[in-house]
Amino acid sequence: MLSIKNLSADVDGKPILKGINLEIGSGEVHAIMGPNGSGKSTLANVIAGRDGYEVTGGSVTYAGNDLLELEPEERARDGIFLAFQYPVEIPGVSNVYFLKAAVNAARKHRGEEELDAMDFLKLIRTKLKLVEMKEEFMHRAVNEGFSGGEKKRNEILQMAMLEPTLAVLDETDSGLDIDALKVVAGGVNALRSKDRSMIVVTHYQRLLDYIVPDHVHVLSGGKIVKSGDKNLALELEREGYGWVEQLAQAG
Amino acid sequence: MAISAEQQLLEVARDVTLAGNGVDWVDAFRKNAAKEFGERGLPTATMEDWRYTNLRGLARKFPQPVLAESVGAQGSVPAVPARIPDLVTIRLVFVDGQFSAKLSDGHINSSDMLVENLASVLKRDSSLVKGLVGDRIGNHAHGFTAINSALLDDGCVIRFGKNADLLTPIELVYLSTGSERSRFARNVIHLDQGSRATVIERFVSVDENASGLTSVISEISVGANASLSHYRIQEENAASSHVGGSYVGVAADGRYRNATASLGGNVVRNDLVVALNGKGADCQLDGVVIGQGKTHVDNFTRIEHHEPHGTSREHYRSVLDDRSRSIFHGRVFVAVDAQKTDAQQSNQSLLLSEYAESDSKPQLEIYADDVKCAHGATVGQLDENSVFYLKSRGIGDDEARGMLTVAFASEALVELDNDPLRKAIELAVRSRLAPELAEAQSIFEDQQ
Repeated sequence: MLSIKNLSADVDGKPILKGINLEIGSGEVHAIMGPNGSGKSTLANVIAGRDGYEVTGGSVTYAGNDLLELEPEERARDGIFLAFQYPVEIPGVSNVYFLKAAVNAARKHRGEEELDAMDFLKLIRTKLKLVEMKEEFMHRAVNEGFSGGEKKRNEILQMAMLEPTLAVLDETDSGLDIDALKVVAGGVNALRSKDRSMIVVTHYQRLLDYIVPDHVHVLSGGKIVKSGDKNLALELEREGYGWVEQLAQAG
Repeated sequence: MAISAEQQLLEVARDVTLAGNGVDWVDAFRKNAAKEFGERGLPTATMEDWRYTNLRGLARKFPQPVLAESVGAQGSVPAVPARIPDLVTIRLVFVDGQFSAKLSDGHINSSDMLVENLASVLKRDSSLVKGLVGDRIGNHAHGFTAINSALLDDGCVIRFGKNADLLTPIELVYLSTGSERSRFARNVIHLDQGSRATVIERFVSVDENASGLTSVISEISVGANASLSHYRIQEENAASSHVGGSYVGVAADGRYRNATASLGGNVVRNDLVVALNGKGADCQLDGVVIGQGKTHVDNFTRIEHHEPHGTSREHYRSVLDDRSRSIFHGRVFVAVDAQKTDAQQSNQSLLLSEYAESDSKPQLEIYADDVKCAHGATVGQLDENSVFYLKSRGIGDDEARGMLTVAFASEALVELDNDPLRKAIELAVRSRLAPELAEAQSIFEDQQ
């Protein structure tokens, strides 16, 4: 599904990723953990194609194609979804209009007919339940005046509507209280399927109590320094990141 | 030797027969105005209030004024613009500044409401507007107000008695036809205590051949506790200039709302002067400018707080592409007695081209010591984080930028208290900035 080979990337001319290797199979959930500044968010943004993240080496292949050749919108239409750490507020654009434009862009790309307003609203009502959002949110401007939890739920709602084949969740747990975390995790779990892979980027093990990963990777100094199963996350929780950084320096 | 634009206009004013001719006060009013115009002349860029807007082109060759006696020669009846969807209005249409009964819905003349064209009122009973014409301009006069007065002829009279309440908006359509013409009109709006009205002005070029100048001056009195919603939509073509002004007085607890959408034109200048003359008077002024091609829009606003507890809100936004330019003058004057004034002003511009220009000139002149006054101005480009957010959801680059641009402009209209009108303006904005999005969103508005 996704194959990352020896990937390195700069931000503002500064090397952040220094040779990442990662293979993600269909339907797998991989957690990427690591201390602040280890490159977790950079990896997420490189996958999504954000400007300002310059790939300096290596490759990213997605469903057999060179992902790095594609524009962000093309990646999205091909099934990649990034849940933002800091979702952007967009005054003046209603959520419903935004989502319809996004869903129809993907449908058009797949050669399907665009959804009309009625069908779209029907679809969105079922998805709103998934993240326990009220319909009134649809008529508000995208994320404008939303609380932290509402913004993150809105991200998962978008994911539910766009039905990606690869979802990258960038610190989705940051700024969430435990109730909001449960709702968001519940939404994510409902979207787990054998056709949908996920990369869950997080600093804390807490999220992984609710979204249980198949694999856990520890990123430090721009490299994956250790991989394991869900127990690795627990180990990190107990030991902290100190020993990982030592590993990185040794490597 | 070529005669100056001023002399040419003065000759027209002297020779032409206008409505109300022979009525002493009307004759004297026009004569004084002609004298004033002779002294003032047309504004030039050396005047502080006109330094951003150069009218040399007009002064060199002033377009031929269209006056009542020349209207007969128009021949065929021009096509009027479509009605605003989902909005019933009483429409009065002015073709090149002259009232067209044929294209209009009629007039109102009841015991407490008068809605009729000025030329008819001047002929029928000029006392109805005596003391109202020329009442509001005062020391805000300049050459264009003077020539407008000197050529006083047609326009619209709206007079409401105490507590008169007309829920149906009055829609004034000014249609420009023909090339290189100048068109003048004068509106008089007088709302007595407790009355309420909505007035929509639309400025439209009938086709791409229409050119020249339109100059409509409105004098407006909002009585105690009365309320006027006043909207101006300018959609003239790129060959048409516009110099207009609204001069407003608001009495105690009165409320005046103005929203001005400048969506086209060559050189556009809008004066908007609001004097809050009574305790607790309130005004809200919103504006949106869509600059394309070489459009130049100068919004000159002045709010005067003369009495305590007044509130003013002012919010203008510009989206500027190509070589367009927008100027925002925002003067706020707070007199020494106007304690507890609450004034807020903001002006934001989005530049889509490196050749576009935005000038913002906030000026606060405050003599009272217990007031809240805030102003802010920003000029910038689209936020790339927002663009990326939309693109990361599969929305193409052009569409993403179009959505954000339209959204930016529409934010100036959120306070507009007439939904069908707001939607119509938003649609007009969208069709200019992102035609491919025009239909997409309108489908959704029906669902809300």
